[in-house]
Amino acid sequence: MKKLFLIFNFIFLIFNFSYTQQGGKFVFAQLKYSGNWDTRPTAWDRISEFLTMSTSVKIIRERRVITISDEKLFWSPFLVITGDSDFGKFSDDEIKIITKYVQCGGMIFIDDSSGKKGSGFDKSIRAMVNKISPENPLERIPTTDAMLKSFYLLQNVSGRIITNRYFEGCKVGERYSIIYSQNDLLGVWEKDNLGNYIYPCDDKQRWEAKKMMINIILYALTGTYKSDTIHLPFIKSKLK
Amino acid sequence: MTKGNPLGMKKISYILRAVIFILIIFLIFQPKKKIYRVRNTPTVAVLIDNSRSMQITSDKNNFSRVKKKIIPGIAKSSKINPIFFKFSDELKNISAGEIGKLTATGKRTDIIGTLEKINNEFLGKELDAVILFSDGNQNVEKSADEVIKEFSELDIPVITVVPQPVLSQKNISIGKIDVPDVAFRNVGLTLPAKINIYGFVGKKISIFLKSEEMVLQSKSIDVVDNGVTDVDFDVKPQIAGHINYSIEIPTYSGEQNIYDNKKKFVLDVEPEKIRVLYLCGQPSFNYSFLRNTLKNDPNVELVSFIILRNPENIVPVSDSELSLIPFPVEDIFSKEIYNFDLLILDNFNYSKFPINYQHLANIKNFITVNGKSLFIISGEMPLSVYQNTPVAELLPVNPSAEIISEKFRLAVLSPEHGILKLTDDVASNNYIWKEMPLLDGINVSSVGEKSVVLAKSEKSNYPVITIAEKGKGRVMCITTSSLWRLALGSENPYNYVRIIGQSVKWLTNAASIKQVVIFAKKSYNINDTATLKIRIKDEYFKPVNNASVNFEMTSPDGKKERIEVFPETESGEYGANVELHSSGEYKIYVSAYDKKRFLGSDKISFTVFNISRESEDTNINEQFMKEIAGKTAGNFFTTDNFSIEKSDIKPKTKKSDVLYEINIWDKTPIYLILIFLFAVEWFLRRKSGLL
Repeated sequence: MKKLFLIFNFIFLIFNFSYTQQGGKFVFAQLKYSGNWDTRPTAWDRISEFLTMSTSVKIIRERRVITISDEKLFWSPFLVITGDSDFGKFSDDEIKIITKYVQCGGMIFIDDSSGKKGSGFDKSIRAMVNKISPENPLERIPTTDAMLKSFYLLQNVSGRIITNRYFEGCKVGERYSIIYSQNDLLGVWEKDNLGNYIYPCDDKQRWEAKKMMINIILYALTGTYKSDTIHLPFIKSKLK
Repeated sequence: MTKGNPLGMKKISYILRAVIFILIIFLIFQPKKKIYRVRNTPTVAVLIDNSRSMQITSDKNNFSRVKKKIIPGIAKSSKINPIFFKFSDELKNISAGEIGKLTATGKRTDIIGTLEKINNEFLGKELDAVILFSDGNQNVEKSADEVIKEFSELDIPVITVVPQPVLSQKNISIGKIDVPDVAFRNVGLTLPAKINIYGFVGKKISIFLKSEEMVLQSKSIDVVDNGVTDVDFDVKPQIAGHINYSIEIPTYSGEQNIYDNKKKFVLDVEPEKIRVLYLCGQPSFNYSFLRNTLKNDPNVELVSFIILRNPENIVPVSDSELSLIPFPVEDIFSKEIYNFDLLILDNFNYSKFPINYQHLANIKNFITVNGKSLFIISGEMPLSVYQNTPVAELLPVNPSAEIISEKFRLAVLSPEHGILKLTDDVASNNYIWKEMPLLDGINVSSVGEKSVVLAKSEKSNYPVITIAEKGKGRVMCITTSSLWRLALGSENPYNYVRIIGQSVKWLTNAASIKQVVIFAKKSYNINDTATLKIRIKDEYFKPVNNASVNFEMTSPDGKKERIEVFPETESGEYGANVELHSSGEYKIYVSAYDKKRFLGSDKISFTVFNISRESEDTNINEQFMKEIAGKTAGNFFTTDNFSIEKSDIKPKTKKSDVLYEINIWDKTPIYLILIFLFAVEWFLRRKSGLL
């Protein structure tokens, strides 16, 4: 019994470790909602390895799964929503919480894993975003935006499936606080236990999609930094 | 008759018809004859300046001559109908008999106000001209344009008469100084001043520009003639705020008035945008929230460098595919740093870069010698990395290498400090801080010497927000990387924006970018009316027009008084006039609310000198008097060449002078004549067989 208690305590401590040691570190929080919310469960494991290998970003290794009413939402300035099918509407109170989250500086990255235009997930997400940000609806993010040059210099958006040649987003202030991809960006990271990619994709396209995901995380952490005047001549000469 | 002269009969008949036709036309239009009142003697308001300066500028005998000979001559003149008034800052109607007893004792001269009052006094009455006896030393702050324009439109000439200047007098005085409404820090400007010199021909006169009793510049003039000399001073203000200056001339032997050798003025120096250099050791939420806040602050110009990749990081692509730029260590720490007002080091580990001891010494000089500021943040990287470097001497804390991971609430020790004050009400402010969200992770430290801990962690008591003055500059230290929680975890994210904004303001000592600002002169003379302006803006620096403004004034005797303040324009400006009857220091405190939301507060103080305006400038202001005369179609005279005849004052004939109108067609005989003419014409035609 005592052993069981100690094991339970150990698990509890590990579970909470990431929450209490946060500081300014990057945390990958994913929203759990009443639908197929966990379509790419291992993506963060691969992303986190690549992110720490290639950048100076300090991270919390564990994925943080949260519900809207979870207080940890407000410890998580970057929130990922994935899915591949329609889901039940969020209540008015839940919409209020997400709206406050965005207005207070939180960023939401939405990734449609279905790879289909007009999917059930797409319809549900658009209805939700309209409620969260009625004044700044989803708009196409231009390829000149800081998001496409926050770490890698990218000319276009990518993904496991190129459903759209663009991402959409809602701006709060000068940066996009809601980013919506229909290209299954997280799908390119998924591997099975033997280390093989689960979802087929052209290698070059997969690589571009990985770079895009890193850029989105860097964008969440640095905002429009790469649009600052000091960077412009360097970036311009590199793009030539 | 018809037979004898039918042609002549026809002619008579035509003439009769023409007369009848003209009579009918006149009957329809009914022309009137106006009888005007004829006035031979114009009504003239004679205004006599009896302020103290009249005695000084024109000497006692001259003023005596004005009141005993010139003005009584006007009273006796049959060519005008004079109505006499004396004025200084008040206007009073006097009889001709009282003029001889006039004394020049008025404490202020308000020519513009007097003309305004005269206009109201004669509203609806006849006024053909104004004769103004004055030295032109308007020393009540008012705009002349509107009043002069009104006299011009009413066609009332103002004849101005100044006392004959005593050219033999010996005096040096500082006349008008053209002070711009606003100046900018580190931007040069010219201050032109007019120096009046009489009786010192052949001498060399020294003139000094001073600030806070320190001589900034000196000029010397070789006096070749009596009159006005222009002197320009070039200044480049180094600090922002209300800066006191004075132009001073030493007192020379035999000067008539020694009080006009010094003139004080205040320059409102605005900072350029606050230039912030932000160096961050790694991408983090702390950086993204702080950057976003600074980027959205209209008063801040931000240049930031963030280390996206360390040497140990491996990127499987060539450099050309990365957006990374080289970190220009030498440029930043040797040259560019001095172009900024504030340096932010956010978890920045200098040892990872080729930053040498001299570079760190430059940071120290930037603060202590150049008077700039440092905002240093730890939490991911301990501040102990700076131990034994010049930067360690700047830190307000003694840092350890330990970073503890604990969730904690801030215990605010100085809620009234400008950085942490979120509302004017102490209880509400304490409540807001008590309700602030938990933070996470502290770099353990103890408070340094001569430093102030503003907030510490509630349980472990480690300093979290600490400030210190270091040499000429200021330093602020935050030992957690989770301050962003005050935005994301708070009910009101604006509190975070406000704390950061107030920190930047405190660090850069930028008083003039407050949301609530009082504008006033730094000094006044006794009996002046201080016209105070208050500018109120919201957190986004948009003007607030319907703010609730509390205005409290403390007089030199310590008496507090609440003064009502009204909005003046639609651009968030409010005004109040304050009478200054005591000499000494006055203190003003203003706080403003938009509904119940605290917008900010400001306090200023100014000195009231026990120097009368009347003795401050004792030169005749001919230019102003000529301007009044010129713009109202009047004439300008000195007392020596003035006469009523030369003034050319004529009575005006106006439409309103119509006494009565005669409607000559509205008379019975006219109708009888008309009937008679009709009858004659009918008779003639009948007789000549035309009917």
